[in-house]
Amino acid sequence: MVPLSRYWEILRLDPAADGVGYKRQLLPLAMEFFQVQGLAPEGLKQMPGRSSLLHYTTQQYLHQLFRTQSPWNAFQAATAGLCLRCYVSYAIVHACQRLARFFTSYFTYRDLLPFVLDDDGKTLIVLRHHDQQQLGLDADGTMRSLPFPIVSVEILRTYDPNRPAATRASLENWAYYCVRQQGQLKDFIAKQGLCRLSNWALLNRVSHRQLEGFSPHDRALISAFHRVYRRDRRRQHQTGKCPDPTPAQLQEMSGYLQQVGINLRGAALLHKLQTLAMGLRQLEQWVGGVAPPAISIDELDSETGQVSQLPDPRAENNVMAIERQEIQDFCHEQLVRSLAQAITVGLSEHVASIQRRPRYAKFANCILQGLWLIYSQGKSQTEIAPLLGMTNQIQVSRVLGLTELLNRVRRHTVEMLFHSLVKLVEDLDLVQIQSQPDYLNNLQTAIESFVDEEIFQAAAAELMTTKGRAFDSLYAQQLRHQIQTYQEVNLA
Amino acid sequence: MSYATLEYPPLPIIPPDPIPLTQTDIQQAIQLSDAVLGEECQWQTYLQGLALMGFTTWLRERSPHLSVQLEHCSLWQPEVATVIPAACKLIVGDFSLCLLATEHLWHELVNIPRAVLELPTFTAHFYVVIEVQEEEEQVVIQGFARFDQLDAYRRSHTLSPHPDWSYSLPLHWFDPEPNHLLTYLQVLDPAAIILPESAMDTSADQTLDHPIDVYQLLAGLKSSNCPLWQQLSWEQGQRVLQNLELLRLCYQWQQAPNTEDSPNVRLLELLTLALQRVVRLGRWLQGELDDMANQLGLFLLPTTAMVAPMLSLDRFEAAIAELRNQSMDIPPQPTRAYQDLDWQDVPLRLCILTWRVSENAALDDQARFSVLFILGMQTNATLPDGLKLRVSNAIGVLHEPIAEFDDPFLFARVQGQLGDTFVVTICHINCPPLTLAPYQLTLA
Repeated sequence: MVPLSRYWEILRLDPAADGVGYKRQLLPLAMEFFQVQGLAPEGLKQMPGRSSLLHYTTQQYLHQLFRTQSPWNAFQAATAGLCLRCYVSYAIVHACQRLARFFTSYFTYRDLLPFVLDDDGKTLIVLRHHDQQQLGLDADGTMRSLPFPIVSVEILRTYDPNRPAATRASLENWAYYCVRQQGQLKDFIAKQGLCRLSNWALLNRVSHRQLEGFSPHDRALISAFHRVYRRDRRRQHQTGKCPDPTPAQLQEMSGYLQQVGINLRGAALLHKLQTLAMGLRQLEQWVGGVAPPAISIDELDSETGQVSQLPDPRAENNVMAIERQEIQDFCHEQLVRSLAQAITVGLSEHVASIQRRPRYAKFANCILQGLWLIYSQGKSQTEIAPLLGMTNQIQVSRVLGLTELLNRVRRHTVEMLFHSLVKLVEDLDLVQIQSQPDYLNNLQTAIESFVDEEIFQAAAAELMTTKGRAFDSLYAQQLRHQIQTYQEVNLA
Repeated sequence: MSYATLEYPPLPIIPPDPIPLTQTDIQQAIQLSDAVLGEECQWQTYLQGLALMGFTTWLRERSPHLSVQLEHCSLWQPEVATVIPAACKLIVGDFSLCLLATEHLWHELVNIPRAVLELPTFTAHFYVVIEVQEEEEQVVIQGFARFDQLDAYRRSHTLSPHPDWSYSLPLHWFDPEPNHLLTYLQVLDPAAIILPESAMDTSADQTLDHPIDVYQLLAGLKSSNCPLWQQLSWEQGQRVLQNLELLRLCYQWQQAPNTEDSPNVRLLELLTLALQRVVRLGRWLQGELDDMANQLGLFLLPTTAMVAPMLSLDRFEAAIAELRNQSMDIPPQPTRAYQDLDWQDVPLRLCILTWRVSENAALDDQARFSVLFILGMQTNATLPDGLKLRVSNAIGVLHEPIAEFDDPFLFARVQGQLGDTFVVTICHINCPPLTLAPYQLTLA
């Protein structure tokens, strides 16, 4: 369940190297307003099944106050807006995480945050001029124009919670849609993500469903390209970067195009294909420039217009035989020992996995040294490449697999805690665990959120930082300790 | 509580690791894709092959003690891979997994064939979304979902399927944390996720409102531009998709290079059984023909003494009497219908007799019936030599007597219970076979 504190605790951009890229900040003004307005209903607790609907009504109410433009309640409007800006800040961070998930080889969500998480919540803001303009509201009631519009306020300004249910997006979906449209962020994704792909890989990626979105002319071009280029890529067992189409391939495509009355050949055809591919470097080409899916598609009951009440596998259910607190106490005891074991297992698995990869096997025995240089001496991957006899940072990153290793260790830690928990706590009914998927999933998620908070959030944040890393996390400490032990054994 | 769908699930704090593909993986995926038909399908199968290789690498590394069986996977059955764009029936332990490969998820929509969600033959315990980054030679596991979850979401959201027999599901219906899948595979009892029972629905006949020209369908399949979904409704399509023998024969038909070849008789029979409306034999016992029988020009012979004016009917009556003399237990006045067939300029006539084997049995599921097919000529002539009367059902060929030495008639007798369906094909070595509408033992 989404906590109500999201209406008064804002996520602010935090460039600090060792953090997650943002920091939560309580805004007393928003909190007080929320409570005075009676918006913190006990109802949420009494009706957990309706919480999404209550969030929606809360947002609708706050949004209405925010858009009221009469001069005598400007403060009220601005403060209602502030509550929503807090709420939207979570949606923005989440939107960046959603987007970055598809470009993990190229950048992390932290790289996207500066473009869209630009609201520190320090300025009260109202809308004026028929909702077209954001104005700062000073303590004495004077309004002043802002140097540039704030993204979260733009999201709220363009959001319409009163549209008919069938075409209404949730505030989260609307924020995601707006974030995706943000100019600088789009440029960044185009340059850092889509530009890494060749023209021809981009054209290959167009699915038959997406083809429907192109003009008949362009559709014919892409189809002809697919017919020849995709076939040859498989037949000629090509791998890696897609080469330019050969004259013979272009000629064959021309043949197919001629059959549908398009006369394009040679350099002209190549140029036209390149132009099409250039267009595909914009994210909109893939996601469509249209509004986000309305709630009705996936969240509203088509008949009642109400938010549908599906059983939530992530909900904490009553079958949970032991209390979260008990799990936590138990896990605390086991935590460090489990982590140490998980690192041992994870490291040896990782080394074995690199040994199985033909291209990297020869580097398997420098993994420990590489990890030591990074985690103990704070060196960058580029710096250590020559020390390990490698030529570039990409090799180092593939061989050391820092996030992969972290993922393995996290997985093993969770698994070990899970198994010792099942063994030790009599209240846990094994049959129930095996026969009720939701129960099993809840238990696992509870353990995960515990270990993430205790260990892996900090460890993951360290990895995402590019400059001035200091590896102080519990994970880094334990990893260093293990490597030291290994090296002592080796020396002895 | 509805956050399951209202709120996007929390994302794992560590982004998913790309799984590198080896040259061997790529070679194997190419081989798999070479076996399927059509360029679009080959590319999709290639991607699915890459997804499968990457996924199994990941699985073996992360959970080495789980047994992974690739041999049942649909990618190794080109007849299935050609019609269902997903890698289903990957067996891990006692679970069945279905992999959904995609080249990108920037629109956050997962394309999933209806067959793998709705048809018991192809459903899986888990559906895994795998992003294939072909040029980067790696795959990323972007999420997975249990059958029961997807089934519940699908039912509560009235999704509309695309014309190509697929759905677009929002990515957030899938759990983004692949480790959860590992836990399920290691800990969960497979019976905890209940999959639909496998059962061929024979009563779906009512939905086959638009009669299909089987020959036209086969011609369409031959030109690879016309896949099944463009030619059949989903109701028709699911009957074809669930019949693996039929899929295999369709595949062989599409693959055979010569367009002049006439299709395999078994292919015609199975397509007819799957797609054509049946003639209901049961109604004959009550002395009436249904619409379908009327359309086909069947006519009943009155069981009373009113002798039809057509000369040849006497010959059929004589033949029935002769069979009775040869101690076939034909009752004195069986219900019989005639169907005239002008086949290759030969005026054939088929007589179909139906009777209950045991008159005492109550007319219920237990009752057994006999159906006797007699093929003769509309004239006094004898049957062409080498003519074959082939009677089959969904399982195989039951009888195929061949005319020789100026035989005037061919006989084939089958027995069955209510619901059983038979299909009759007239074959001759020199001509394309003629498969008639299927006959089903039903009540009105």
